[in-house]
Amino acid sequence: MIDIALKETPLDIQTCIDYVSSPEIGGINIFVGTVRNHTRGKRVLHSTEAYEPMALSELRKIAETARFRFSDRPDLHPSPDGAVGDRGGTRGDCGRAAHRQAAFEACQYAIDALKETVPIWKKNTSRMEKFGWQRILNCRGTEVQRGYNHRVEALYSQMPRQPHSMMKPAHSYIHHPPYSTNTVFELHRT
Amino acid sequence: MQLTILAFGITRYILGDSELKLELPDGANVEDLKAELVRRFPEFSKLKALALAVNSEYAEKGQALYERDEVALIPPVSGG
Repeated sequence: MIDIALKETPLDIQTCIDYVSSPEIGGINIFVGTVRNHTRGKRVLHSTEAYEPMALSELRKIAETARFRFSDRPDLHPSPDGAVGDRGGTRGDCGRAAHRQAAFEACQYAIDALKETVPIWKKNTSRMEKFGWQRILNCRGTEVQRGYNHRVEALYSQMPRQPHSMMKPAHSYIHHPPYSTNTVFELHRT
Repeated sequence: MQLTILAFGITRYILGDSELKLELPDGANVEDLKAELVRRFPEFSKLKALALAVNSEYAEKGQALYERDEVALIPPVSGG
């Protein structure tokens, strides 16, 4: 049984550990990725948005795939599984297994897959006090996509400098608290 | 057929809105939709990648579209 939710409450790591603990488990691996407050020398603020129904279904696929691929003792326990979280711009990812190797691999798989396929976007925003608005600089700040960042920034620079607050309301699917980064994605076994 | 397109991430800024109504000929597929988007919003051609989701699933290449489909523009994701 896998239970997945997209939450705005902070992720409690101990709850994740308790959730995946069981007598058959010999290792729990937790990854917490924090979001930098700077991108290429500029201080940035973050906000997130998600295509929620698809994010949930993609997270479920990751959980199911991780359990299938990294079960090191399938006869004993269909684990590991993962917990993936986001709090204050941090991402957590928890793999468990009877042996530590599978726990590490499942943990890495889950967070890598999340960043590839789950439709959640992070915006890095730099405050432009002079103009009294926030100008969007780019929509992702991950190292592997640096080239993409440049292109996106070039694109933004050609667009009208429209105050972010004047953008039309987001679709109801979009979770878009202005500059708050307290979205929690939990993915855990029940 | 008229499609309702949901836009996320940078695509929302390209469209200037989170939703777009688009008229496409019956029988159109996802490639036709992408071509129409690029034609109407040339900025789309500058994106490194753009995936489409149909009814909350990543669309296959050449997947057919139907009027009631929920289509979403999925620029590269960052996982929060």
